[in-house]
Amino acid sequence: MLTWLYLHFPSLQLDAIQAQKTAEQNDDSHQTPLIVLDPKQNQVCQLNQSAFEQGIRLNMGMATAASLCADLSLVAYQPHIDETRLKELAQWLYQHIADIVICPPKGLALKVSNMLSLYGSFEHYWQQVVSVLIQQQVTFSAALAHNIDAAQLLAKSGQCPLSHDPNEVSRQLECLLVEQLPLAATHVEQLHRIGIKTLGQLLAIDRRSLGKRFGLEVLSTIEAIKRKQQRPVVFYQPPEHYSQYLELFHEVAQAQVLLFPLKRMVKHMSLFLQKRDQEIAELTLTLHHRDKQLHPDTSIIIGSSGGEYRFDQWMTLIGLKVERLNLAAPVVGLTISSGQMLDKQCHNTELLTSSNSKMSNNQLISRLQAKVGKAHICAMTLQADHRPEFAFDYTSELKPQMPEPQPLPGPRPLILLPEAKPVTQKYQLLHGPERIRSAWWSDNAVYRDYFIARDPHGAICWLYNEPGGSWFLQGYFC
Amino acid sequence: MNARSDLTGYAELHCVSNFSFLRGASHPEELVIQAAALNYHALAITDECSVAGVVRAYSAIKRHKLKLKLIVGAEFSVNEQFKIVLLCPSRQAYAELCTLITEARRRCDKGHYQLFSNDLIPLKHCLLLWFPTGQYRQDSQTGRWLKSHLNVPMWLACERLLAHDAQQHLACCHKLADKLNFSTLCSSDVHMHEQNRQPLQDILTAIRLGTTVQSAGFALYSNSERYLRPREKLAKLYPKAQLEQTLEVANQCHFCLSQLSYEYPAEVVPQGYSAQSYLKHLVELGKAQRFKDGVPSSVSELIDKELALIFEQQYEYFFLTIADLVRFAKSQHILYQGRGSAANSVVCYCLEITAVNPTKVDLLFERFISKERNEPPDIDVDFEHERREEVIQYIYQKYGRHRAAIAATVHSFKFKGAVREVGKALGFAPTQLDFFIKNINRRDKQQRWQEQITLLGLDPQAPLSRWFIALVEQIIGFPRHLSQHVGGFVIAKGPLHELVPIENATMKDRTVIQWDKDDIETLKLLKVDVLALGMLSAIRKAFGLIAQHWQHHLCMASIGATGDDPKVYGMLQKADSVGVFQIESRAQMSMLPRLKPRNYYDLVIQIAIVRPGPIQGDMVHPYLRRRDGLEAIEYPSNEVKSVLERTLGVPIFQEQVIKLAMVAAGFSGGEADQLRRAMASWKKTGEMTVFRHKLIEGMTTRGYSADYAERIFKQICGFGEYGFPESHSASFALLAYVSAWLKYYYPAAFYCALLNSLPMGFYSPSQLIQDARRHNIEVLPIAINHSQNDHTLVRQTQPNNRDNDSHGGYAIRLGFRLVKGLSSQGIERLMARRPKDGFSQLKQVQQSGLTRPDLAALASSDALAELAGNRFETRWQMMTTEHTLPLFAELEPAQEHLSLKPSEIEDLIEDHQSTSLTLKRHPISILAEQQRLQHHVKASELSACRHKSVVTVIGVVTGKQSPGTASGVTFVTLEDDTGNINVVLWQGTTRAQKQPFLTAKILQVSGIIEKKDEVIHVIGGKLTDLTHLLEGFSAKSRDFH
Repeated sequence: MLTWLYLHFPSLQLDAIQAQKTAEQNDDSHQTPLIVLDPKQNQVCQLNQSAFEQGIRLNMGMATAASLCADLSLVAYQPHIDETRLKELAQWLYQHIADIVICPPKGLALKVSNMLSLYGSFEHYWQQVVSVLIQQQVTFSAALAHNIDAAQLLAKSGQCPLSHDPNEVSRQLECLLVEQLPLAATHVEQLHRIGIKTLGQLLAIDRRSLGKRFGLEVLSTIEAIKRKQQRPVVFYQPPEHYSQYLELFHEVAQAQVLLFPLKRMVKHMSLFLQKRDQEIAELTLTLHHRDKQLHPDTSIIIGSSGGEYRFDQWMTLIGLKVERLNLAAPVVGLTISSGQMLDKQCHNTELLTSSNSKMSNNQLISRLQAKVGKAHICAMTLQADHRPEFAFDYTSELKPQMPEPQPLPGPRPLILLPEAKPVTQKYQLLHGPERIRSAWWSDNAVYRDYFIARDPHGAICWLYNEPGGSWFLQGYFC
Repeated sequence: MNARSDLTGYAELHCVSNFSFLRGASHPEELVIQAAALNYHALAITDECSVAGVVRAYSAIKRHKLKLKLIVGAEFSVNEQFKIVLLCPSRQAYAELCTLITEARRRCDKGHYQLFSNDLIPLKHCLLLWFPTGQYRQDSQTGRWLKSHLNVPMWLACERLLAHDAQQHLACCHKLADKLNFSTLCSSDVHMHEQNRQPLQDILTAIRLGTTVQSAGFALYSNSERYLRPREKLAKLYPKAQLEQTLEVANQCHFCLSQLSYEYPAEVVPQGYSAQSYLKHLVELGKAQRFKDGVPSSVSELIDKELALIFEQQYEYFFLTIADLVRFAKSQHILYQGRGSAANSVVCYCLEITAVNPTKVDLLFERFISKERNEPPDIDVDFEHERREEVIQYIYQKYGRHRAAIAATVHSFKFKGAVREVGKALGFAPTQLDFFIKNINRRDKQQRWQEQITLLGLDPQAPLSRWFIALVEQIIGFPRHLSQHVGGFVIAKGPLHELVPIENATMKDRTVIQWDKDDIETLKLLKVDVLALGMLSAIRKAFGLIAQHWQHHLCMASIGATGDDPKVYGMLQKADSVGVFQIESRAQMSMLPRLKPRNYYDLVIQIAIVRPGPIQGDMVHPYLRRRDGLEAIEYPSNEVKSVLERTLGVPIFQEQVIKLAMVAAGFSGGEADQLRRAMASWKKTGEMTVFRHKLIEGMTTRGYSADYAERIFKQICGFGEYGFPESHSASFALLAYVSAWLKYYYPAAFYCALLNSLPMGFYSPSQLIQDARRHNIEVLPIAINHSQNDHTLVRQTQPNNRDNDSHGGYAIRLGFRLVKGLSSQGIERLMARRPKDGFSQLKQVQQSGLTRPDLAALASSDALAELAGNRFETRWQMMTTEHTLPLFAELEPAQEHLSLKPSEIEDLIEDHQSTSLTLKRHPISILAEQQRLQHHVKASELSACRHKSVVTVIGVVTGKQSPGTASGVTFVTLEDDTGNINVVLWQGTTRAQKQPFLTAKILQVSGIIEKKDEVIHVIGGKLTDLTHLLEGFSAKSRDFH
């Protein structure tokens, strides 16, 4: 019984690039040779048709590939792109098909048998699969077999037409070359040296004799291909999100009033999270209006710095946002949907800390961000850069533990002006010069002599002059 | 008086060159030139724990006649806590410094050093500069220690580099000087000769730290003040007293590198002799040996003249040292041959340094060693490559490791490394840099790499790209590290580490000195070159086989003495020279039928003329035309005639070019020597332009036409680094003649010896064996009961009919050394356990104690064919260990047969995989028989084809070569069952058909035949890749670029 359909995607990263290009140019007639290069092996690991036509092949060294084709574009292989794409494909297929197994990095196995009653015939089922994959613009090859390993081998070989005749599939399997099997290179070499070229020849050998010479690894590989029953597998489950819609009994025109029904929703969400021992860092509150044409839904993103599941914390954050809302139109319904679900972090659970009055740093930052907007809350960092204006930096990426700042290279003013000002009055030079000439590689190279000086009001200032002779004020020491 | 002369003089006492690797951003030459231009009184080159750069600075001062005092010194980080500079006021101080550097370097791995404060205590003669860190407490501890423990003059050096903490630092220095009673002076921690080297200095820092300039942060210097600053500026920065103090220190330094006088090892002269009398004595002994029939009076005169010259130049120790080495080699039966400017003298012939008989070839010693040219004598001695180590060990043993060390080779940034490392330091992606490197053709003369790289996607407008190109150009030629020279030994009378520091090489137990061969030459030290040569191993092995099987005892001198054998030259004129030393390459082969060598001197020319130098200088065709009498030979003057007469008026040898500059353009000996050095590196340094003017003007004022002068200059440039000296060619020609003679008279012994000396030469075992078989030598396969480790000669049962000259009757039995994957221990064990009458059963072989991989390798090589079935089956049997256990030993192996039999092609592939050659049919003839190839012409049939006719040829690709001398042309060698086919592919052809050109292992070429003299080429048109016909076939092509 051929129960497994295996889909092999040889070039997910490359397909993604091509799809994007096609979308941008609205034209795929002019395809340029493109390869994805594995930087570790320095070998071609994905290539498009045009590159193939130039004589480039998989696993070819970069030097050869580059010399075969002068106008070759190349991209470094990024495994995480393949991984994400594979999950997305599973998600798309899942809308039509249950029983999907993700086989990283490049394959999906679909259990056909359970779905045939729904689709009536394999042909219908297959059409559905193909239509999804075409829509997703991915290159793929497919095969049917009695277990995932066998189907995977056939699909990966990419040479055999899809067949659902068990005899034909057996024949196809026997024709597979030993180098196409998941065997160590040394074993493949050993097999070649005794004249064994195909899986068929390998299967013809007595198991015991083979085991004596090649050991367990080769035997178990063969067993895996031959096995009639599939080993237990974990089927794909779409990720869980919390999402809840609440239809209001009457239209609400004042934002304050929304807080009441929201309380119930947030309590529910908090429970949901608590049960799963999870938390979220962000949620989306959607306000639905009566006339969608005139007033599209209003979406508000509310974030907490660090994960949070507790009702009162979320309620406070939501309250801060909602209070400041001006409703464009009356609201008829509310949706809360969670962002990514995170496993709960261990928070401070010290026995004797009184929790009410104290706010953790995280909580404080969350509240401030909710109040004035994320972009307005920054931390200051120091960069190892000789140029003063680049030695200080602000970041809104706030982490609970900020790294220790590097020591400053020399005496630096506490207040640095956003932009240096031309000097207009007389100063008394106290200290200097400190010459800074650096960053010739950037657009912001500097060549300055710095002085510490006193202005007429007695303030200690930081001045510099440039080779042309002009003087600037850049900061104040306090 | 102008304002400038009011300035206080200045001596920079703290300056690192780019020999402080990845720190200094200027060449030593640049530093001294700039310091002289700024009117510095003196400059100390103080590289970090090194004096590797000082000789270059010294030679630049001499060459440019600079008014600048060079001080030798070095910078050290002591205990990795404080920094000092040691300067050398005297020769004793210099010896102290070298010893200290040696100590600090020898305790660490290559490229590192470690210096402890206690190492400084024994110092007596050096001057010490101390650079406080600016941390007062720590500094005062250091200062106190220095004052109380050291017994050398010392100063505290203040450096104002306009850093943020300059004022505190200065205050700290003054306080220290006050409290601890130090005199102060000033210096500038110079890292570059000009301020605009700052970007390069930053790049070097980033490379050193393995980061990018963007993220190197405070590891980069904050400004560009570490350069040779104008004196006006220094006068503003430093108090007058400190400036004057630098002069005071400089004036104490009287040591100059010219004081280093090399003293020869004394033990080469036995008691009761002086060096002169001993050399005379040895020559007398040799004379009697070499000229058994009496010494011709002309030879006696020549010897006297040569000895007089040697004595006058005081080179007797040098000749004695080398004579001692070759005497050792001779006593160990290690074959050797001397070459080089002084090697081809009658004296060297008598000392048995060379086997080239000078009376036969009319070489003049004076031509090679010349007083006026002022070059040290050059003798390189080649030894058998497998036994050179014995000679090296002899040197160490005789003179001790403290007196003998190998010269250094300075590894510099080359184009590829420069692109990769500068690119990485600027933050370019490694894959992009690889892409640039692989796609830039540095040979492309139409397009410079700077243009090519923009075509490859580097935005020429972007500032970073411009920096990239500029910095790559700057860094090329920067020294990167020192490694060991191929075999140049410096041997001294006393401890070598008092002459030059010694450091560790990568190879275990090897040490190198900090100077390379140019430095050694500059300082007129003598080095002995102990080199390795594969052909000498092959010749010695051939002599051994001939003595064993024919009882003929040959030596190189005796073969050389037989005179020019027309039969041997007849063979070479037909380009039948596979395996013959120096003239076996394809380019040499195609020259042989044209040049038609008839005597020894023709070989000397043949070896030198097929070189990039003469080819680029366009000297080959004029020479051939003149030799064939198609072009008149004219000389513009008698002086020129005297130089060029022996090569028909065309300069072919490097010596001729130098001599020409002297006689035709009036160069002095010293200038000619500079020209010789500039030639070797003119592409890198562009120094040739200096000579261009002098040469052309010199020649025109002496009445030569400007046109002729221009041509000579072009030829000199063409020679470049590839010019081949006659003195080397003369020695190589003897080896070429001896190997050709062996090939002609004892072909079986010759091929057998060559095969036993691999890897060497131009051809693979497969090609050599095919050539042997084409010469009717039977080659027998590896067989378990008949083979040895090496290939052997065995009596043929049915000798072939051969012409009478050659010593036939022997076949070559291939040895186990050819089997890939068979360990040498395995072979040893096999030979020890092999019964007298051989193995009779597979089981016995299995029980002989070989490992499983060894047994498997043996099975696949088909060496067990006489005991077992096919190699697949045999290998399968060999893969179990059951039968090797004593308990099972008596049991018959279980019947576990494979039913797989190799096809003819599978056999062929297995042959290639396990021995890289086959004695069975050639792949092309198998494919032809299977009718899988279209009609084609075989290699042997090409000579019958008409010139310019259209042919199709098919063969295994065995070589691809795109020489730099022929722009864009690639020479491909195809091999079929009858021989080699020479295919010429033009750039257009290869560009349009890249896939078959680059990847085909079996190639079909349709093209047009070109015939000239007896040289046949196929000019390729359509290329077809036929590799798929032989899946799994893995002939290795040898690609030359």
